[in-house]
Amino acid sequence: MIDLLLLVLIVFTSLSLGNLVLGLLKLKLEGPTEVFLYSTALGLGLIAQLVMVLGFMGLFYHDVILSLFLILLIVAIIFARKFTFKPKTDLKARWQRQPLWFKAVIVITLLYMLIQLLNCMTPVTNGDSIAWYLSVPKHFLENHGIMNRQLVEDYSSSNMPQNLYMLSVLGMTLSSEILSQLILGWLMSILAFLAIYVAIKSFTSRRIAFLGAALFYTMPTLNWLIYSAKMDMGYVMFELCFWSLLLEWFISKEDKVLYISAIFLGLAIGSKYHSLLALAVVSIGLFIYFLASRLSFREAFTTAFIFGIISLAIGSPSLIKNLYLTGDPFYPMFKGGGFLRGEGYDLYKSVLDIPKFIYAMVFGKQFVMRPLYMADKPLGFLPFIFFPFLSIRKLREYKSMVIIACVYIVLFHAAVMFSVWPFPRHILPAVGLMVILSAVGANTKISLSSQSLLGLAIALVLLYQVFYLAVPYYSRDKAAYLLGRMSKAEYLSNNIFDKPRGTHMNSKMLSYVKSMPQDTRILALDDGNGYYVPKPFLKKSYVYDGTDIGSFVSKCKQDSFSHIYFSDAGIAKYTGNKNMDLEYVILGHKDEYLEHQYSSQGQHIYRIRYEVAADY
Amino acid sequence: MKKKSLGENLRLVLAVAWLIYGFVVLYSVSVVKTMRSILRLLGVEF
Repeated sequence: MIDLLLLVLIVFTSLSLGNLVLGLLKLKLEGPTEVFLYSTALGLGLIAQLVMVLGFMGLFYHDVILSLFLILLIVAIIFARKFTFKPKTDLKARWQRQPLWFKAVIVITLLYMLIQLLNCMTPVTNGDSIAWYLSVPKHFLENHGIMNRQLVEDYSSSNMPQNLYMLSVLGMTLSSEILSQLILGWLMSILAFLAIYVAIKSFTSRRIAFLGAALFYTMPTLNWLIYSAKMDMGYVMFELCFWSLLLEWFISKEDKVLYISAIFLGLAIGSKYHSLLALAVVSIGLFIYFLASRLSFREAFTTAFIFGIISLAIGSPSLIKNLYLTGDPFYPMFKGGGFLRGEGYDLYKSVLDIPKFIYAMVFGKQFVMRPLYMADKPLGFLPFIFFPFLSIRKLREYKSMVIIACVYIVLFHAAVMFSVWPFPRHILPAVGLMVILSAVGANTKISLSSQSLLGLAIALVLLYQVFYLAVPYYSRDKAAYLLGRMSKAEYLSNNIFDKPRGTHMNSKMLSYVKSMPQDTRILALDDGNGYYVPKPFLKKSYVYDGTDIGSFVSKCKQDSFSHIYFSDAGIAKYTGNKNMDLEYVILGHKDEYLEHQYSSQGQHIYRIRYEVAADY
Repeated sequence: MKKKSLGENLRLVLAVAWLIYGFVVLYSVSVVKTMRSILRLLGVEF
């Protein structure tokens, strides 16, 4: 419950600070939703950047971060404006005017948001989060800063843009990783929902706007991203805020709106490298648009240049950190595909594979219903429901905006399709933009009217989808934890540490690792999910490298690993997978190079015998 | 009430067809599994 209270304080602080800045920039916002969305998003970005300053200065101490937050909270209270969240029309009357199917859509969506809130209030169990996205901020806090060369080597993901890591650091400092999950998962998803709503509402009715946002929010692939501390929701939110404001600029044509949209794009660039594509496409697109609008070359260049510079400047702290530590501002974006290279996900090699790729993204299957090897959930079919109603006449009204957005959508899809990670979660900003454009360009006045059978069908399918998505996450443990009848340790033991057939270190192994010497560094052969492990516990891509044991031992020594960990279940998961074709060179030389230290329920710790490999 | 044109009806049919197709591909297996579980709970053996 304390996490929820702290979340409310963070939202209030962000809202008030963001509103103050937007007030100074004199951005005219329409209605409470826009005020809440843009102010909170900007405030969160601002807080992230301030926490990052502490990280640069090596001041990641509990009291320092807490003091910063308290100062910001006080500033927020002092400058809190009177937010008028009271809608202009009576809510009750507006509710009564809505058709039954739309009332159902509202109730289902709000219920789903509540279920996800309850999920996010329980301890983090998502694999990627505990392997990377929480481990990195944990190490930042242990090292009291972000400028750490050992971390550059240990976690390539520690070099990714820092904004969202900084919010995670704040969450961990104020309370625990549960607060980080509430910020990065739930809060970001709500703001992403609002960004889509606001973007569509600028062009068409509230009903269509809510429906579009609800269909985006309830996509299967978002289901597990919301219930995690991953980066995706945060960067999607910042980027959708950018698109939403950019679309508004196409109506108002005020330079100020364009430059403020660049701030949000900068925050997205400071959250994930993917947003650089939006910067490239939009900068070039705007330049061409200005020239086509008969602006002089100089004016066109200046406006597009200022737009690009604002975005890059806001996103630059992370790039500067990388430039200083690695000599490459975009490290590790151009350094290969990480662990997934060779794990069989890169299925799409030519343009002829486009239909297969689209089908896989939407349904998570091969045509028609054959299973597909993919480490993600699909987008689902509901977000594309506006497509049959697209009106060429309506799209023509916003020709330049549609062209720029479509170029971005196509390029973004192509980039992800030919990558080693062709997963739905990696195309989310493009999908969000697609939902916005299709809702704006659709002529649904008649088909989604009050007596709409289609509306009723959508509500029924949505109900089933939400039920289908929510049920697997329900557990008695979750209810017991939320009601205070189960401790966090017991919850984690039941749900990850000692879960039958699980691959996470079990409780006994965790106790053993805790008792190991301070300078222990453990190399994981299977999952390497180290957030809850009390010693450095990492996985390196060279665990799969060829058959050269000499090279393997040499790399282990270079990275100062003292021990190797693996579980029988974890190894079987990787070597038993036909798509991966992986080989662990060290397991073939176990007796020679490893000395057994401890085993518990199929999990093993070995010391690396560097003395045997002295020649290396 | 305004009468729908042929084009509008066609769009509506496409949208409904998309809903049905999507539901069958994504959720038909889970629907069958759920029905089977319910029948088992009711004591029906098959």
